[in-house]
Amino acid sequence: MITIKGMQRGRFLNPIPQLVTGLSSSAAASSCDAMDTANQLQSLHSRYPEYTRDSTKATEHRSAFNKYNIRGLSQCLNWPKRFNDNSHPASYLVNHHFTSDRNTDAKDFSSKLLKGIPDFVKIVEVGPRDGLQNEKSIVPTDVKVELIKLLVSSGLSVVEATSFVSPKWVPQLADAKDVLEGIQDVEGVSFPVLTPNLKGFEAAVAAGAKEVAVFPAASESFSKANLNSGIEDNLARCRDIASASRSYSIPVRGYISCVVGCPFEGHVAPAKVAYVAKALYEMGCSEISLGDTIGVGTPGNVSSVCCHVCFFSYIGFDCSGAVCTVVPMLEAVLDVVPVDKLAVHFHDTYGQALSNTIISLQMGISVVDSSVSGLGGCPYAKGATGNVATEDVVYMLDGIGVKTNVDLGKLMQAGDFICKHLGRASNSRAATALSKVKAHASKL
Amino acid sequence: MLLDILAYTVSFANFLQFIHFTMSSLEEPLGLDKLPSMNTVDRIQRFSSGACRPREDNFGMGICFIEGRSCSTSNSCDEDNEEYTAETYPWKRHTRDIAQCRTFSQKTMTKGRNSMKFGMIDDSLSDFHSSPRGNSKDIPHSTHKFLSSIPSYVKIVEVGPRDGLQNEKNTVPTAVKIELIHRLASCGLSVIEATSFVSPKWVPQLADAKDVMQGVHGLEGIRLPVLTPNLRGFDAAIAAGAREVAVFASASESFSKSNINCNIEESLVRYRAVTRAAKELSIPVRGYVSCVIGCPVEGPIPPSKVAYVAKELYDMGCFEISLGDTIGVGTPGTVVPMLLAVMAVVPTEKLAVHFHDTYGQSLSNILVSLQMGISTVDSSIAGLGGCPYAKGASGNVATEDVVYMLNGLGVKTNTDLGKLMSVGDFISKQLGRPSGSKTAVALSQVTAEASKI
Repeated sequence: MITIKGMQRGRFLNPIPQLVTGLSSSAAASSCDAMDTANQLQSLHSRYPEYTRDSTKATEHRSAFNKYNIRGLSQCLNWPKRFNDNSHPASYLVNHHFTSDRNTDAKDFSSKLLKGIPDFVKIVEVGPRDGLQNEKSIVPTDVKVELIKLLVSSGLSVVEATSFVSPKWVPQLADAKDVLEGIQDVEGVSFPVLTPNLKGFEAAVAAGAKEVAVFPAASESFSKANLNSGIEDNLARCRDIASASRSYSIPVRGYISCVVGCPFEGHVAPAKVAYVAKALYEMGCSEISLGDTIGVGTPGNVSSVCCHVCFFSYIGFDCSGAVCTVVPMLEAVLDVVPVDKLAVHFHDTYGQALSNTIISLQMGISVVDSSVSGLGGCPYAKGATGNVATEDVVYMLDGIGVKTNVDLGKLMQAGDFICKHLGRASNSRAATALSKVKAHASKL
Repeated sequence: MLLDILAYTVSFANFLQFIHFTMSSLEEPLGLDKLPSMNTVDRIQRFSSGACRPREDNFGMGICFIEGRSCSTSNSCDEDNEEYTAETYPWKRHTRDIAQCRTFSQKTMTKGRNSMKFGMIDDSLSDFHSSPRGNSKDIPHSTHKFLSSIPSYVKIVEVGPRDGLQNEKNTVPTAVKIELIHRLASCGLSVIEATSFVSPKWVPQLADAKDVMQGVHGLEGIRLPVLTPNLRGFDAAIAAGAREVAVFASASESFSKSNINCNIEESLVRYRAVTRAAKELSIPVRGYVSCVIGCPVEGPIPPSKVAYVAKELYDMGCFEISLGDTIGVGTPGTVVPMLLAVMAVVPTEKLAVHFHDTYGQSLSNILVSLQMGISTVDSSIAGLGGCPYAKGASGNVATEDVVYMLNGLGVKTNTDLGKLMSVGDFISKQLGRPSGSKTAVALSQVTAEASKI
């Protein structure tokens, strides 16, 4: 019986070729014995000394490669045992979209790259607030409520409903009270609402909010521009809200914006983000969401960069070689806040959101903010995309075998609904592709 | 008096220790007059639990935060770190930098460094540089294991002129194709897939293959592979002056039948003929495997089949095998097992990845591939080339997005993002539609905004 070394969960009853786990020198689980692997490879080679060129032996020859299939990979990846069960191959694509069933072992086997990824990732849906608040035309209250209900039906457990800010600043969310009223009968889901100050907090509590959110920035200039006060003043306000909410037993979620780059200051020091994160943690925030507001972050590490052209240098900002990378920022914050209290909120403005998300997951983060259909553009690069699309995130997490409790099909329906209303195409590539494939399949 | 001297010596020693600490973390010696004052942020960073870890970047940020200038303590390309295993003459690294790093930002950095009053880099202080520069790779931190296996240099294979343009509805004029290739060559790309010698019946958009090859004949130092599905195409390619060819097999029988009209074994037989002929002429052959994750007809493809086809191509003499996720359905969960299977039979340095962004997954797939040691990535300028199986969906990953990420990862590509963007702009204008690259769109919007300031 060959057993896989380094396997943490002994769910396999049958042996799995150790070859598969031990092979890649850079990615294999470190506990796999390299010598063993070499010996096994050698024995394989000796059994098949030369690969025949004769096509008649092709099947036999090809079956030698079955060693590289993991027993049960087909079950891992949710593939049907008999493909003919499905009448339309294309429908298979739509229904299964290459998911991994977390309860089997694609992750155990694959490598340490995927091992550290949490089993379950909570998706915090920010579309109804962060997404819709940037819309030019006001979305009617009933559409907002319908959107939230559709999102809840897809399995999302946290949906940011609205924001109690002055209608002068954010007219699109002036109907905050009505939205909360519309969803008050929905059970089992958290609906955090943004509250920039005590006044907003009081209004939120009066309207029946059961969770609030505060949002300082890690950049002084962004803070002044966006929230009309510096970081320290803002944190003081957050503390007031936190202590008020304690008396109501209302959890507070903290957001930090500009965690890697600021449109005014350029690169943001990880230490500053850690400072704000620590302050939020100490004042009692139940979760701290780290937001790359302008989407410039990449999954790298500052100290390993030299030649680059980042957003800032491109527009003539003298950043002298600094880049906006996610890893040092996460490391700095992980020093001061436990990983289970952290969330990541990446923007896809430069297409980097999913790669930033995967590196965050590898580092142990288990909460991801996203917006259905990628609602919400970038306020600093008009016309560019903003929030990462929930459908794309769920597609990736399904593929890795991470549980999200979100049904991609129903999520796509919610996205479809709001995009029809807004009269434009979805920003989610997964949703676009899947809907095209579905359309194509229906013609078969 | 003696006590005073002693006290002075002790405090100076402490002071020197302090300097040593800062210098070993900063890498460049601080001028004694330029000690940073501690503000709240630095104090917290300094005295919090993470402070003892030699994270030079944070300290560097602290200084710059005070002085209002963003700077990085990193001053060298990764490649230098690779070469300097023994740091005997580390200060020479600086001159190497200036010679080798040839981008705008590096120039800014040098300028910045000179203008910073950090004191001269003195030979006698080289001792402080003694450890291989506090490279992230050497710091035993849990997260670095995810970045340490990423290669320091990644070769970008630009497939826009072929894979991108072949899917265009309207045929692109030959002159535009030639201009595109010339402009791409000026961006620093070393491999540009020029065209394809397939029958014009199948791919009318690339019927002008011969003329394109003629037009790019003069390009020096750039490799221009062309696709050749069979011996006839190979002969035509050689006659037209091609110096590198490519063949493409599929890991899926049904896709092979529908795409190249024969099953996998037959296609391999054809390619053996091509590679044999190419070997006689010393022409390198690049192999492509398509549908490495999933097939639009068959569904998921077992990694064993991909490994089989890759090994066949490798054995017949292909110098590089590019693994293509043709319909873009891959995610890190399916890419990793596939790569592991292929890496079992083909050396990692001979592999390339060719992801499609149809489901938005390409960059995360590329990231895990890099983490597994792959160092060649195929991409297409401005994300040219849609998905043939989901009409209207995106296809190839955009070169600008890939380069943006690689720059952020600290990976050398020898390409200039600014120039790439202007090429992307050029071809997008020619095709009359917006770029498929999010980086290009965002940066162009930003520059438009910035120019109004």
